[in-house]
Amino acid sequence: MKLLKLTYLLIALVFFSCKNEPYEEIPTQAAGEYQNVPLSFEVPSNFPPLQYDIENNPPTETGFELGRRLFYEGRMASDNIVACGFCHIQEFAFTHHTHIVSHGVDGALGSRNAQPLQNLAFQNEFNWDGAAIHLDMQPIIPITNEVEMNESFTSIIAKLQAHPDYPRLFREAFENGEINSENILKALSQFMVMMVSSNSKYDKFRRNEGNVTLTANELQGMELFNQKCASCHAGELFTDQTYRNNGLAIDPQYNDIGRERVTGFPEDRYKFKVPNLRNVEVTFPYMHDGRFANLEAVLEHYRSGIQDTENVDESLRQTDGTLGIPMTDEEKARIIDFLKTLTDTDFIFDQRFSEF
Amino acid sequence: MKKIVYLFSLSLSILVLSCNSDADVIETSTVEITFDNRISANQNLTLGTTVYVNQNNESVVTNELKYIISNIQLTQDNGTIFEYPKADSYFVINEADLSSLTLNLDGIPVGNYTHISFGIGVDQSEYPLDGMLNFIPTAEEAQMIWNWAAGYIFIKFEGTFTPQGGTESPFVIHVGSHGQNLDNYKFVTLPLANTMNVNAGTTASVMVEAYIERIIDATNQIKLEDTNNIQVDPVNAPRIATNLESMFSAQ
Repeated sequence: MKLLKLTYLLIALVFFSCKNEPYEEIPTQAAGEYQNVPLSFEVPSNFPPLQYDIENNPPTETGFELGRRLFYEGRMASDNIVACGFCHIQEFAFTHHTHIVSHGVDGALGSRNAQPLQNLAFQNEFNWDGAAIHLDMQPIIPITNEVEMNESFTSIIAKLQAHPDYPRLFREAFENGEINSENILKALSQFMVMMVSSNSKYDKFRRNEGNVTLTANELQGMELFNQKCASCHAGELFTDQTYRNNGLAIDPQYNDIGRERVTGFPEDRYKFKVPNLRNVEVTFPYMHDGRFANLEAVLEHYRSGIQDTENVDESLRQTDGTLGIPMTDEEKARIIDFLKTLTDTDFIFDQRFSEF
Repeated sequence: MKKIVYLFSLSLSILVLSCNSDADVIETSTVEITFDNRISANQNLTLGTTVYVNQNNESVVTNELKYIISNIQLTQDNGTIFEYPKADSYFVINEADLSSLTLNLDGIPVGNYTHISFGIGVDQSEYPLDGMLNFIPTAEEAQMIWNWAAGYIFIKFEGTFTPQGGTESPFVIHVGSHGQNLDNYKFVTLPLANTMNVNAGTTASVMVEAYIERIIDATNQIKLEDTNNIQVDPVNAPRIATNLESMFSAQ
């Protein structure tokens, strides 16, 4: 018993012995105190393992909230208007609804279609050409690109420091409380890591949840999809995360060389990341340059529109040498029926991710 | 009783260890590293002025020279390696900005140092750790980061060249890593010509000379007439990165 008491005393001694000098009391409200309330992140049971190193930047309530504020913050752009959320609109799985290419500050036009933001924690590279190799680095591109947000981190940091709320929000979100580029990017990642779309009708069917069944048409579409599309749009993310040339006619306006811009390899010319297809019903227009307005046009491209350009993907070539994926009108319609089961209204209307 | 004694000594040791920073501080001092960018050991560099002839008989004038130094380490004569805190160990060396040429490192343990090591560029296998993201504003101001890809530019070497009997043309060399496909980060260890004694109360100094003619003339030779624009060039970028390994010498 005595021993036990002594142990407690010693433990207490150890704890108190390194306490810092007393500091001036600042009202908590004004100061903002680091709050380490972790958000639970669960990998959906039908999903592949996480790619994002969540241990290095575990989402917390305050970190996520700061990330959400920054995502919708116009001050992240040189015109104080074009926030990330400007081109990534939640209701359309965070794409720039109906915009063929993304729009930037002062009416600048990009050359590519804004990609949906969902299940990013499961991706190993980002952007159409893989120009970002880590989620924490990705926002550097849109923030600094002159046809997107056209802003510098130095300027953003100054703007956030001068803001009435951000100094407190950063103190609450990060132990060192600093407004710096690392914390800005980590907060954005915490927000984006949580953006998981895994509650579509398809998911519930896959996980046998609540007696959700697919219709005969949808089931037939799934079967066709697995035969004709799933070699690239593979697995539960509906992408094998490779870069391929899917035979789009070269648009002379952009002559976008795709993945070659990142690697410099001629064998990567005209290759783009195989896009994930979740919520594909609402992410129109399609392709890296938004050239197709609807899914019918996309499937028609795969049936009859494939051009034999440099590095065209061999999986699109039939054994007789002709290009294209054979399918009947009926089969096209069934595949689209199936693709619509990937729409996840829980995700696109999730209050946690909305601006207000 | 034995148990109590054991417990006491255990906790005592915990106490001592837990407060290590308060007591028993290793003596440290400061080290100043100066980068001297030169054409060669024998020829100085003045931007926009100095002309040198490369091994392909091209006359080269340098208008811009910048590179990133990272992950600085110093090795003592007893083999102990001191790693400067990585988060504070990213620097842009810009020939046009005198203040960028001298790095002041503090907290260097006193001792006799025989080698200096550093990275040329940024180690992308470390993404996103070690404060690398906080280097963005510095790299941005020096335009040493791309805005179409999320990556740092490790070296920028620009100017003009004139082949024998030919006309003057510009050349541009920007080398960084290409996504995850090509890692052009290099790490070099240089012996110091004289042992550097780091003592308390004084600032020790190292001079690192960079012989820029070696960017295109070392292990690999680049003829500018054939290739005057090296940006995301999967053939020549790694060749230049290899050349950078022999560009430096520590005095």
